[in-house]
Amino acid sequence: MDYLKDENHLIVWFVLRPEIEKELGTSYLGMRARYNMTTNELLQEILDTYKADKDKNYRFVLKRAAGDMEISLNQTVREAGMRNGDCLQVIA
Amino acid sequence: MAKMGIKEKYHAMTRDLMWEPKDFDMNRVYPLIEKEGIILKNPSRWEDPFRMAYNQYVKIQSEKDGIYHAVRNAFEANDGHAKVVDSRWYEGVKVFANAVQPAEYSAHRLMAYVGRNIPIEAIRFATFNQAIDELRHAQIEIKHYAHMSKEIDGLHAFANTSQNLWFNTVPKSFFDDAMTAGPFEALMAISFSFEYVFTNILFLPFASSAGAVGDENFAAVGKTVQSDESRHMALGMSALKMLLEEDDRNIPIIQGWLDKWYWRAYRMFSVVSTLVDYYPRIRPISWKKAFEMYVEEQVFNGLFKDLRKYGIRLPKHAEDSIKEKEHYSHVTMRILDQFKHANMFRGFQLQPDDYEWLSNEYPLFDEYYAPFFRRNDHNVFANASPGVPAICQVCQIPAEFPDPDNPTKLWTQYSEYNNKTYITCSPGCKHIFEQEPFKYMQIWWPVEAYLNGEFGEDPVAGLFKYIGLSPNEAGEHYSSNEHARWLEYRRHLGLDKKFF
Amino acid sequence: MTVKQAYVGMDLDTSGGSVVTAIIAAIEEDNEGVIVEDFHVYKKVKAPGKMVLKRETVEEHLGADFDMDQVHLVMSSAFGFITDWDEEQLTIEWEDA
Repeated sequence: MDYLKDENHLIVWFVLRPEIEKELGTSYLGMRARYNMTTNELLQEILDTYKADKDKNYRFVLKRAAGDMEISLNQTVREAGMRNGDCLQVIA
Repeated sequence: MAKMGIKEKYHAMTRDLMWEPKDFDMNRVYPLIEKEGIILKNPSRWEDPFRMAYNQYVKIQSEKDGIYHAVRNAFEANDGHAKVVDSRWYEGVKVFANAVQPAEYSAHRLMAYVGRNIPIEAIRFATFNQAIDELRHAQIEIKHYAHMSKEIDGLHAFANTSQNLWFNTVPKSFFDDAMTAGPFEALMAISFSFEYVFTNILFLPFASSAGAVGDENFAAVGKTVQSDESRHMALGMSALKMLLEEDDRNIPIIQGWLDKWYWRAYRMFSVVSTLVDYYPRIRPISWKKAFEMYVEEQVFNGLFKDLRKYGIRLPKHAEDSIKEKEHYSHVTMRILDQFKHANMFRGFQLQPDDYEWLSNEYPLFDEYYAPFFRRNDHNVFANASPGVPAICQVCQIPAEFPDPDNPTKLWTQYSEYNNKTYITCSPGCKHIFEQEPFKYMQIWWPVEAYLNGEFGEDPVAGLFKYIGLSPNEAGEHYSSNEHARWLEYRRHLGLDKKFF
Repeated sequence: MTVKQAYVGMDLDTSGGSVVTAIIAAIEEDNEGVIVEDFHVYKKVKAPGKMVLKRETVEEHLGADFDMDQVHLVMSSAFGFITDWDEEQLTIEWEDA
């Protein structure tokens, strides 16, 4: 199987900050995503991975060499301008 | 008539033996010599300090082997493995077995490549000697763990593991990187940075640790392998000097290679810091002290002082590696601990004496690292990562190295290339990536391959099938069957009794 | 600024027994400022800037024939440039440190 063959598919790398970083120093973790999913759905899947508190407010940040970009929750991954291989930080 | 001395004999056996090709352009016979921009004016000046002819080489190597195998035989015949102070030591030996032996093997190809492509007589015999030495090392190491495999887990599928385990991409990519460089760069990569700088720490302090915990077999492996390395180092050192003296235009090229390969080898050796600071229960030396001795003293304050006259300065990120001294082994052990459920060598629960030594030797350990390891005290998998990690695009280690000036923040760097974001673990790796992004964008990344579906849909079962091992060969050492078997073996030999 | 002295030297495999003891004694005799560090399975012998090992001196200390080829068996590592090595001696040095 070749997940990335499908044009709608991408792989993204995420991490929950700052709690996780401070204690464990973890790097990004990988997951499969879809260009047509909403950024909110993506956020929920990330929070599920960490079993994190869904009632908190989170900032969703896209890391780029040129600088960070804030990602809003009511758009698709494609509309947000995400690319295959992107690094995302979820900040409580 | 006067008898020939060693120097004259060596000269007669190795010099002026190759005829100049009259019908072919030298650059067709040696197609790679001009590709790196290196200028050679008078290669006949080059000298190999070891100056060994064939019969001397085989006599010496044969004696070395005889000496080593006698030690190995005695150790094996006398249940040596049961007599080490703590069986967790063998998890460290597995790291070595799994990562170093394929590196040795691939180094033979690299040296053959160098010998074939550089038309300098003085180094020809030396490079082929080295190619055979590397095969010698690979075979000694396989023989060593063939026996150990009767008692310890994780080694029985070593060829498969070398091919498919995520951890192995670290040493493999280093050698692929060197082998796909030009022949002069390859020689500098291996003979200088790998052999001269870092194999000392691997084979000597680690051998010392082996001796301290009672693994005389492994101590002997270290010393016999490293005795060949002396010859390799000398080859690299004399090549380095000759290249710098041939022409001033070589100097910036060499400096660029020293910058790249110092940092590249330094990151690859990160796991060795854990073999010195964590795996041995009795520790004769720390990574910090070994680094100070072998890298700061012998390399920065020794070799690089001597190279100043050519206009060479310290490697670009030398200062960063010095700053990381206080952190290196702890950070690396932390990374390994998070993924010990999915690796071919286990982690282990730190014991009170471990915490004490680490705390005494490293002033920052209690504040920055002890809390992490303490989480394992009641649940050995408390720190297991909930997912699969992003790695540095250059060194291929999970990008979890902290900024030593600010250890609660990671040092992760971001680069833009070809409409994609690439991460590296540190400024050192970022610099390497940005010099040759087209090279590093081509890596094979097991985690990405797994996410893409390349080894099935079941994360744990799929991974273990892929590497040829079973999940109970991973995890935590003291709770494993391997440790239980070791205790039982000792009971059987009467070693569980304490007489003093 | 004080410039730290650069040392040259070798790491000797202590399983070489009396040969290694004789080599160390010879080095101490023929060189100034020699330092020996004991790491049990090996010993590091170093001298500031330059170190010479002479076959003849080793033989005196060993009380038996000594061939410079034997150095290959016990020298696990070296630091400094090896600038000369023949049947009679081995020289390790930095040129400019």
